[in-house]
Amino acid sequence: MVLLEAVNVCKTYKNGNQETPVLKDINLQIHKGEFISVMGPSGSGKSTLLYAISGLDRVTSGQVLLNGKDLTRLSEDELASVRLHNIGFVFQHIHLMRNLTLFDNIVLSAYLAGRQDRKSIRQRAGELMAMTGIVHLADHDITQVSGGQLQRAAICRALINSPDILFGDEPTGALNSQSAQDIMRLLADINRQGMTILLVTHDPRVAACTERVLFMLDGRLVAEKKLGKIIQDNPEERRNRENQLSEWLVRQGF
Amino acid sequence: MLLHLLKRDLYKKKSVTAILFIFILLSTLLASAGTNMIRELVSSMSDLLVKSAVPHYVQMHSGTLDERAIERWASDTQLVDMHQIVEMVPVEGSHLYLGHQDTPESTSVMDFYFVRQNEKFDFLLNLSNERVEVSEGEIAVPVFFMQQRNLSVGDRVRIVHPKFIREFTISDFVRDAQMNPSIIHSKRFVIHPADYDFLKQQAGGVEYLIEFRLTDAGKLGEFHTLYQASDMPKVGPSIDLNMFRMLNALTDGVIAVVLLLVSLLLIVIAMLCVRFTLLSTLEEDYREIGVLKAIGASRRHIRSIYLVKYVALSAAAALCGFAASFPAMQLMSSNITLYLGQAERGLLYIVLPLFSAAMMFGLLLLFCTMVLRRFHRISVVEALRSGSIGEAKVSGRRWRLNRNRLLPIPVFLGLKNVFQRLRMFGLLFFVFVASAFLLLVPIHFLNTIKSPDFVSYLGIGRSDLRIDLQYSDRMDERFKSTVDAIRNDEDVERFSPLVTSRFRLLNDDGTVDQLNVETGDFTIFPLEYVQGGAPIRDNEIALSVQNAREMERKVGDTIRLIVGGKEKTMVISGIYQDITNGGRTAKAAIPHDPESVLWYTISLDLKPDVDLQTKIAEYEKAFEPAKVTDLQGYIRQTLGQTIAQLRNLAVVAFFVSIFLSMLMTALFLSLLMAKDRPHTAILRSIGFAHRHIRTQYVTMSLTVLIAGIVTGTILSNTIGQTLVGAIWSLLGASGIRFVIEPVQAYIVCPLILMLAVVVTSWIGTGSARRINIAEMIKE
Repeated sequence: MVLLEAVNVCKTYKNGNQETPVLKDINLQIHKGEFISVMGPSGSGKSTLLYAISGLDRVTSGQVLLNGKDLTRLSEDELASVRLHNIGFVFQHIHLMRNLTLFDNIVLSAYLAGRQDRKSIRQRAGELMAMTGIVHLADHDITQVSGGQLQRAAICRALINSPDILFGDEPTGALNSQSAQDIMRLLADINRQGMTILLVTHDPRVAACTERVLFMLDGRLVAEKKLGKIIQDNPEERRNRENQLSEWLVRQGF
Repeated sequence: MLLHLLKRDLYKKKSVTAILFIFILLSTLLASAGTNMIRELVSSMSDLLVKSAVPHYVQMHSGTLDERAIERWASDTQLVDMHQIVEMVPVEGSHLYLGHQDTPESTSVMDFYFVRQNEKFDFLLNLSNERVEVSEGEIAVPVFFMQQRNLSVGDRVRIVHPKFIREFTISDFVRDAQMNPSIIHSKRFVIHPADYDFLKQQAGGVEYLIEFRLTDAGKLGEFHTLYQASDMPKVGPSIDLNMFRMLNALTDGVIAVVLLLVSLLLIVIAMLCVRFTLLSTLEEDYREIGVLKAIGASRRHIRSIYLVKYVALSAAAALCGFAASFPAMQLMSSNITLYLGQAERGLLYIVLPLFSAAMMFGLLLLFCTMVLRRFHRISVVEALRSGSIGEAKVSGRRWRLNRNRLLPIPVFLGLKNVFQRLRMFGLLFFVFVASAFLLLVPIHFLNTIKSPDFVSYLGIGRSDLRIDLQYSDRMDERFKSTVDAIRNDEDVERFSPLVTSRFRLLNDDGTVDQLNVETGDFTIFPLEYVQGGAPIRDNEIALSVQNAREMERKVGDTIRLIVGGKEKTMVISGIYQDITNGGRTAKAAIPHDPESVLWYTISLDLKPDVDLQTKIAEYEKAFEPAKVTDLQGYIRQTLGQTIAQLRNLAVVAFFVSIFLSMLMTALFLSLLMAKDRPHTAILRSIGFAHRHIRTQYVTMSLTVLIAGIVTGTILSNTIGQTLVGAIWSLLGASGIRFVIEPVQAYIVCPLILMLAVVVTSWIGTGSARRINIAEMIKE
């Protein structure tokens, strides 16, 4: 079942009279439960694609359909509602609110959505924190915990409203290798529970954890590699997937 | 390079720059106009005093007078340079019709005197500050009535006396250095000597001004003592040069001082704005400053990049403010020009306001330089690494979202923001406090002065009606018959006849002074006393604040009076406030001195079902020429001009404070939003709608506003009251207590302020919609 579809999506930046096309005729389908990564050299338009199809930015032309609803036709308030209820986002630099504790950061958007009572929200936040291993840090300020722990909290925040899809823009980019590995393991677990995930990354080890890898070049999706779901999370399988992917990337000129 | 940076910065921060420009412009405008107004006031007043050759000392006198005795005394007194006796024919208000008015001036508290132009000094001047000359059948009317009754040259003035009718054509208007201000209840009309003789003959009875010019105006005190100790005529108040100066300068002087105070307030706000803007710019450019330092730019060079904008901005705004101050001054000094004329302007006309504008400019630059000292503290490595100065560390553990049960999330976040960044919101808080103060103090004062309770500052008790009898023939007789008539009037609930007469006062040093003492029963319409209470026994006296201050007496002290030819020690039973008669009055329960009666008054209360206005009309007819006024009318006429000016001031203050609040809210929010863009982008990315962001900012400004209003209200009720009291203590009211209309002060005004700030915040945060989430947080 197609969850999200991009149809002929274009994005052009204007600077005075000068126009710079960043996304050119992107067509993409994401199925429910998929775990996808987008790779490509710097400036290829990966992040722009992510922001454009997640409702954080507007496209210049084309359609973005989420559950059949065209995001490009929504008003700002409707789009905000989509971001609140249907989409979760994890950023490279985390972007938690500085003046809230970890727990408050996690529950903020759920309280705003107000779809559940506070007790249920707190319970769900507790479950997510337990799953990501940060339950003991609930009352900490964000300046008191490590980058990896902050990114776990950011994942909890993104999942608190049970979105349809989770986007990640280099979610491991600012972390050390151990933390990055832990986060990817966590994301894979979440995907196994049915969450659709789309990541942008430049790290083949991260992309190797996903089941489908899209390759972008100069604003276009130029290639695709299906790796399939990770069946057994062991070092050997991981190495195999990384090797497969590396060879493919070399062929793409990466 | 500097010009390029300047242009870029101005373009980037158009609205902030515009608001700062307005503040600096307004403060220089007010400072320049205020100083120029003071200059105009001082020079016009001294010009008027010189051209009119104002007397240094004037003794008003009703009754008979021995001109030769005065002449002898004057020539024997070395201090006297010149003297003259000015005759005045009093005309009852009920006989006088001004201009197109169909009704006579019977309800006016003013005393109307018809005079000839003086020969030696105390000249009555026209609107060109030249001596007024009128032909037969013409009249020159005091400028007070020109303004109040909207009179112009060619209008008529009629005297409809039971014995005769006389009509005059207004040929000119009179500037009277002695009697210009409305607070002085005597007004002089100039007529031709032939007309004067006719009036004197027909109307009968004259009053006198015994006027002196001294060889040394600095010895007024000495002369006063000398005159009062003599047996010279003195049935009436005396007044001197200092009093003329003070009364002439009072109204416009207060306005000029208020202008200067407001300009100071504005410059303080402008300085705080500059500080906030500079620090925000510094925050934004922190990394760039680090880079500049890293490549070797000196502190001075970096500082000049930032300073140049403020030098240019302040210079342009100060120049515009200086230029605009001239037409503004023209408007504000129209009252001065009307009452005092316009003196030669000279070089000071340009130099003084220029100096004020330069002062404002200098203050701002000094402040900018001080703020920019922060550059010294920026370390290269720290700037490059963090890219942010960083605010004081904020804890998430205070104001836990999780514990919030009631407030909507955006409201909660707004409140949390305010309480965690109190220092930053200090600027806005200060402005809101100032706005509330500025809004409330004139309103409180206006309500106080309009309130019936204000009579307690006029030295009289509260009653429905007041009947005034000035000196005239057979006054004592008329007074008695009036009292009898009132006693027999069934409509009267209670009444109290009071007689003011002059007593001799023995000073501690053996010299003799005169003291106006009101006598009668002061328990019927009790007065509010600052200290002590009403005089009840016949050896008790109550003094006005001004008299007590000058005699250095307090309750329980004694003074010595000559009563019935014998020395009598009087114990001071109380001290009360009185701004009438120069603030120098006294009250005692002793028999009055029939030889030196100044005036009679009867205060009375009517029974509940009696119509006040009908009664006034009835009494006016019955007791003519007595003056019958209701209390409200008495206050209105005594303080009419002050009330009108205060009302204007309150309206201006209302709009200024609303404007100030809106402007500052817009400025502050635009800076704050620029600073908080990343924070806003995060909230938008997790689903906050535009209205949530707006609600957050509206909550912030409203919270600070509420705190500002509460503080401003407390300050206006305390410091404001003290400030107003200090100004009025000059006139004899030491302890003004505000009469506060709670609905107006605590509900209507705050609601209007809130509405203005909420609307400004809502509109001002519209730009949050333009924040591009992707641009702000893209990695």
